[in-house]
Amino acid sequence: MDDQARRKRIGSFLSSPRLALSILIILATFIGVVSWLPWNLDRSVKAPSWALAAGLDRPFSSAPFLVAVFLLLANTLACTIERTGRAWTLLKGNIPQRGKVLAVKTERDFITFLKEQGFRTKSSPPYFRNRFALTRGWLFHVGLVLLILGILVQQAYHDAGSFEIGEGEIVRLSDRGVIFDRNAGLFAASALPPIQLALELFDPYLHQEGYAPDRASTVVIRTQNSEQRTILDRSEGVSIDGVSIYQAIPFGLALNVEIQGLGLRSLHLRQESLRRSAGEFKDPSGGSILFSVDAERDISDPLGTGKLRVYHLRGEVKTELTLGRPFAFGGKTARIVSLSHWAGFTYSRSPGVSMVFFGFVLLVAGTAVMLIPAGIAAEEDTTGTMRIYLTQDEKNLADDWYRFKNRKT
Amino acid sequence: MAVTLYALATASFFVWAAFKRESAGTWGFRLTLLALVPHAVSLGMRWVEVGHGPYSSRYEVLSANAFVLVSLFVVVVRARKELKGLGAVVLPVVFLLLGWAVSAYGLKYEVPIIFKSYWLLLHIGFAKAFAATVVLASSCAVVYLIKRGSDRRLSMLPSAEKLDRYSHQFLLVSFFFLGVMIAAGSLWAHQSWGRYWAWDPIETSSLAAWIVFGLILHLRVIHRWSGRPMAYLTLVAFGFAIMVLYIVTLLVPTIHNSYMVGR
Repeated sequence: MDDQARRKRIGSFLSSPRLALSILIILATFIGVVSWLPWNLDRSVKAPSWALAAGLDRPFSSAPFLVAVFLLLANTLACTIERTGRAWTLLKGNIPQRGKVLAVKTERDFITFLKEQGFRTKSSPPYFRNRFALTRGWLFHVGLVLLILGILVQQAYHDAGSFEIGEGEIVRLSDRGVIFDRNAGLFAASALPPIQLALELFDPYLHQEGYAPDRASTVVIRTQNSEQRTILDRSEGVSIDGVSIYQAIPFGLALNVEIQGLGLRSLHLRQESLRRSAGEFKDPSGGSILFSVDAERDISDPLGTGKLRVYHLRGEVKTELTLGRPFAFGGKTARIVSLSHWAGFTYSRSPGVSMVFFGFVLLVAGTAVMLIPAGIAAEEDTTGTMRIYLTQDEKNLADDWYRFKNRKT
Repeated sequence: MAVTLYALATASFFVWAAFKRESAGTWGFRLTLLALVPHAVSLGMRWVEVGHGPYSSRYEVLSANAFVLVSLFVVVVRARKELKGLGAVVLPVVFLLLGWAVSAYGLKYEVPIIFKSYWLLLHIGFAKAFAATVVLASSCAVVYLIKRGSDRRLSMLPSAEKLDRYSHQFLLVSFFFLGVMIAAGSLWAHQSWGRYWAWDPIETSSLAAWIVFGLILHLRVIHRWSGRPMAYLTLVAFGFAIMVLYIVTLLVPTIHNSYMVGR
């Protein structure tokens, strides 16, 4: 077998509808089954050892899934290449041999019939009915190729992570330890976004008319080139220099402590029970210290927590702290300046997404165009016969022509 | 009032189907048109009262789904009079949907802040249009299966061959609506959470349904499948739509937990 024949054989295998069907069935079954795996439904559930061994702990990054997606891309690409020639031929008015649905001698009545059926021409045959709709399958396939390519680009380059910031605090995302739960694609930039963010105000229970109370933050975002002050809530993020910042769900109490010679530090406490938040921190000497806040009422009560009592626990010794009064903190003197909230945020960079959506638009347009009946009526040079090709309702055309003739006679 | 009118319309369509009384069909359609008025008013009043569209409580969601289905049915019948007989299948569905909806009438909620989005309107609008078209596609498929043996059965409806074609066209439209619904939902997710896709059960089941719809249409368009196998496959597609729209939403913990509240 020579190279050309081999290439042709590979091409026809890759573009075969049977391969497309098989991949789609495999993908639909795979998605339908693995979506219900307990560790996929709930990230806190650990995958069993057999799933880890099979690479199914993260099923949608697993080799079988990626291979199926890659095969789908190859199949769609091969189909698209094949269809490009076919679509171009149709647009030029050439009727494919197998597409002939009616052959009638050219006569005035038949031209009138064609016009009644929506066929038009600028000057001479071929006549077209909704010429643009002849590209329907091609458009759909181009959309699908762009969509899959966009997803691959997005998966390879996406970058997202979480961070926390207290009211009045300023953080630089690129600083060590600021970002956690980072999730980046294989080719994503390793450097974190050079962004500085200050949280001016945070309200965990802001009531916007028509909506349930929810978090809202006033933030100032600075990059090398710009600065933006904005109010963020969970309905929409804010984009700056290709990086988007979002308000996340977690929040809690923050203990703002001024440490002698070290300045202010915001200690983010976690809610441990309805009325208690606590957190363990390193003091300036490297030792461990536990702070806790006990509230009079539920800490998450939008109407207020009531009186708050702050304690620090070193070993077995629990001491109540008062706002502004100095206390020993790892060999230094510190004092609590205020109690406020910290809030969680996320950042994301998603290149390739515009390609995904452009692909989706083309794909959806291709589907919409499939609903539009298109056709070509071309004259055969030798016999003076008009041949018709239709993308749908082929069976009805002969009946309609028969009825038209009867009506005329 | 709307529920009563839909019940009367259902009865009229049944009389038409059973006794072949043309006037019953005409009355069935007139009653359907009439029912749309109090139905629209009730949805509008609820919107004003709760301050958001019909996308939170079970009553709001199902009532709006039924409204879109009836409106689409009316539009379809205006364009293709011969499909008026589909009312015998569509109206009972509407009646049942509203029956289920009104049992949660008293539940009123404020929606979460993430519902403050333009994409949400598109997402929900296309979800409702998807639900309606898939009901019409499967109605055509059901009637096709009944009429397949003899075209004299349910004679007020078009021939089995035409129903097969209509079923395909509705399925194609629903595939389109489902696609837009997924895309708009994904854009909404990005706007609110900074990610387009997270393989949440609702996202995954929508994608699986979309692939299945694509598969079925592929069999029709490329492999020229039609008739009985396509009718059964259309019912499979209907099953997937029910899974996405109701089963996953109601039974599985998903990001759609604030949808159809009061279940």
